[in-house]
Amino acid sequence: MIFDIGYLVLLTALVLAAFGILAGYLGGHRRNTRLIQSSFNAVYAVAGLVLVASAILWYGLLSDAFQLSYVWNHSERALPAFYKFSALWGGQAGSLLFWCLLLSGFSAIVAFANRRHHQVLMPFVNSVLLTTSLFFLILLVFAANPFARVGFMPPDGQGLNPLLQNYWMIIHPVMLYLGYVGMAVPFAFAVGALISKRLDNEWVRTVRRWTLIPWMFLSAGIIMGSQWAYMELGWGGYWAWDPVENASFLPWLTGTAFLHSIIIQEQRGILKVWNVVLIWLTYFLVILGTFTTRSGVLESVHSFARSDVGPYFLVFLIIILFGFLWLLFDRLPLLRGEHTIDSYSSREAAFLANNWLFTGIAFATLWGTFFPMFSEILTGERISVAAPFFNKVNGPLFLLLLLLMGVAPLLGWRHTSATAFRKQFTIPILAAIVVGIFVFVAARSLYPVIGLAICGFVAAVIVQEYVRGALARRATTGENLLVAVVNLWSRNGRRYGGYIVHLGIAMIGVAVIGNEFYQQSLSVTLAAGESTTLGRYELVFQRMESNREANLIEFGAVVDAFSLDSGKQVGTLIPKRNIYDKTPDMPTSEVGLHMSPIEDIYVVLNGWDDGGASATFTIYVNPLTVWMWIGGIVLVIGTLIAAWPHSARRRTEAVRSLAYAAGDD
Amino acid sequence: MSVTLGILIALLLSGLAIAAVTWPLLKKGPAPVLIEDDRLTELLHRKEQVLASIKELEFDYRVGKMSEADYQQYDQRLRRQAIGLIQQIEQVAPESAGLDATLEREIEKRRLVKPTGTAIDEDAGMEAEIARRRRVLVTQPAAPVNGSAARFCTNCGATLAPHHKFCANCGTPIEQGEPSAAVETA
Repeated sequence: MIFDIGYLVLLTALVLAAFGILAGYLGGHRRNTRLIQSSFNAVYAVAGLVLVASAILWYGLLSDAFQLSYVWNHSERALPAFYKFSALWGGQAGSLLFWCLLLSGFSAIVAFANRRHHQVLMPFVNSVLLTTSLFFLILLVFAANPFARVGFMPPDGQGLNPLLQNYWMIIHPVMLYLGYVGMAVPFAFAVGALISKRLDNEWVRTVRRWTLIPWMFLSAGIIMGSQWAYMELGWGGYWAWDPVENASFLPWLTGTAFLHSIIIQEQRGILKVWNVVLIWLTYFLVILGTFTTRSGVLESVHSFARSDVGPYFLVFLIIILFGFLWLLFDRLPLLRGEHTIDSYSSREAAFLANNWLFTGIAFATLWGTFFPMFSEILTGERISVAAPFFNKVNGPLFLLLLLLMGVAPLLGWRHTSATAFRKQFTIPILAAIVVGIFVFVAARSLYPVIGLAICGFVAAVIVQEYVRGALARRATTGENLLVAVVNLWSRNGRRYGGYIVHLGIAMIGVAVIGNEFYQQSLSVTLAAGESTTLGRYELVFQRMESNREANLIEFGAVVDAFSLDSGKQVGTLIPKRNIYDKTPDMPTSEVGLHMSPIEDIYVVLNGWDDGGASATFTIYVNPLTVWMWIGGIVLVIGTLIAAWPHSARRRTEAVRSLAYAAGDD
Repeated sequence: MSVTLGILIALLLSGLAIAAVTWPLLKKGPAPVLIEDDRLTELLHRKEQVLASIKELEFDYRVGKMSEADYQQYDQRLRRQAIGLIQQIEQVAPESAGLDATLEREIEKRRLVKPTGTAIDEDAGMEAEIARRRRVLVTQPAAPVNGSAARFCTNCGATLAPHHKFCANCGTPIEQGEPSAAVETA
């Protein structure tokens, strides 16, 4: 009974979302405050109802209601409560509901935060956000009902996919979804601006923060996904350019380009068309990403035909595509730039190059991701494009991007003279040369030398920017340097927080280069007590051990690692295999890992014989990999500094709100 | 028991949601219309933006990203834009411009660092200067342009016409090209 209510609640939400779209559109058009109020209330109501529906499904999962086909397929009695909770986003219907929950929640926060601002834009923003919610509600009500029944009461469920029974897998999808969903907000503002013809900088300034926060979630989600792949999949790497990974990476690329190009619009009044196109692309790629991961179209076009949600997504994607293009062409005359680029040695020119590179990488990745699908449609044969393609095409582009990341902050807006150029570039170039020589002495190969030298350049630029900024403050205000740095963050958080993000990216760059060019690996079978060496380490296989958990058995191999230089033990690694009761043919791997700032020792247990007398391992030494995770944390901190709200910016709003007539009440 | 309660709560919340959405539409009388001056809003946004650009430019200059000549050129250009925008705002909505000035004063007051005129990204100095120029524009709308200056007698302070060689009030001879008591108006 309660689950039927859940379905009814979703149906009510669907109707109210449709109503709210109309109310927002008409209200915004006629500037009718009652209709506008109704659209705001619809946003809140949909969020509340979807929350109720999610709570009911959570109740079903936690109370083992196996009469629900979703619970039956994605849970079991012995599953720890923690994973029962996260099983909400472990399957198709549940994850669509979760998407909808986060989206409607985000929409409600946006509506509430702006209930007294942007009064002309907001009704349309509400409409666009509700349209996205409506699409997911249609899916939930007509194609992927999370409350559908099995028809009988099974004694136990079939269990959650073992790969998803991992703490990274609980938090990683949440982060990705928050990032995905959040990107609907800047898109909604862009469409709102186009519809209302309010195409000055208002929407751009407003979405800055609403883009940074989802961008941060998306970045964190991608990095956590790599962490999960690194720890769980056991092939020594963290990124394989597989379609699901690319699906999250594509909107990140265009979203990052957008974050940079809105700065140019704000500063110089150019690139107005480009900015709406970029955020539209980002939103389109978000929906496309959800579509590809949910419909199975990339595994095979045939599985797409069997998917219930596939056709719905296709229709929605077509609507986004043509609806937006029509709107854009209609408003094109209003989107003329106010200026042109004065000089190529200017920050806006560097930002423009950054945009080309980001979109270039995005198109290459999109092409590579969808190539197998096109080849299957055209030739009937599936030709996959593998990691070497992506690395070959995107590697050099990323290197250029990294270089620009160092160069752009050193340039001034409009024009940078030769003197200023020299003054800005001398120290960072010297730093790059020093790093380059150092790396060349340690390991003689060209690409890593260039790559790491560029990372050194970027880091030196950031340090120089901070020092010069803080000194400039001290010279005029007499603050000490520490206070000056804090004030740089509070006065110009976007720039100085952005530099911290750049530092995080440079760290990730260091990790990628280290892993890509200096990884060592070895496959070996060892009897108990035997040892092998790899790199600067000796590894001794001691014994096998096993451990019974609630819904699985854990088999671990105890391996001691010793340093060949000092002879001392650096750690004990226990690579594991988990055999799940419900899915014994899908054992999962848990790598044995010893991390250090220089390199990781990474051991995968492939199998064992004679009850543990001997075991087979793949061993990797991964240089500098830990910097990827540290860089991820630095990136999040930087984004938070950049997005931190400061009250002074509310000024225009205060002035403007007096220009409004008082509303109803 | 708890399931029944759950059902009741779910139904109640659905009812509430429907009520919340329809409620604003059920009120009697003509709906109030949102009044917003689109032109004014745009001008205010642009002014805000130009002020921010001036700040950014000054900061870039101080950390050595611009040459003096470039800085002067772009700074002048932006300041002209700012003044132009402020004048337009005053034409569209005089009361809003006044309010804007009040707000700016308020912000200056709250600033922790005293504006010294050399303050880096404190926009106080800049805004005060713009405000000063604006006051001049407002109080002396008919002031001669082209860089010519109103002149005053160095002895008694009376206003002098451009062609006068002696003060009409006290008779003191006026030396041509002596700007000591001149006030720039633009």
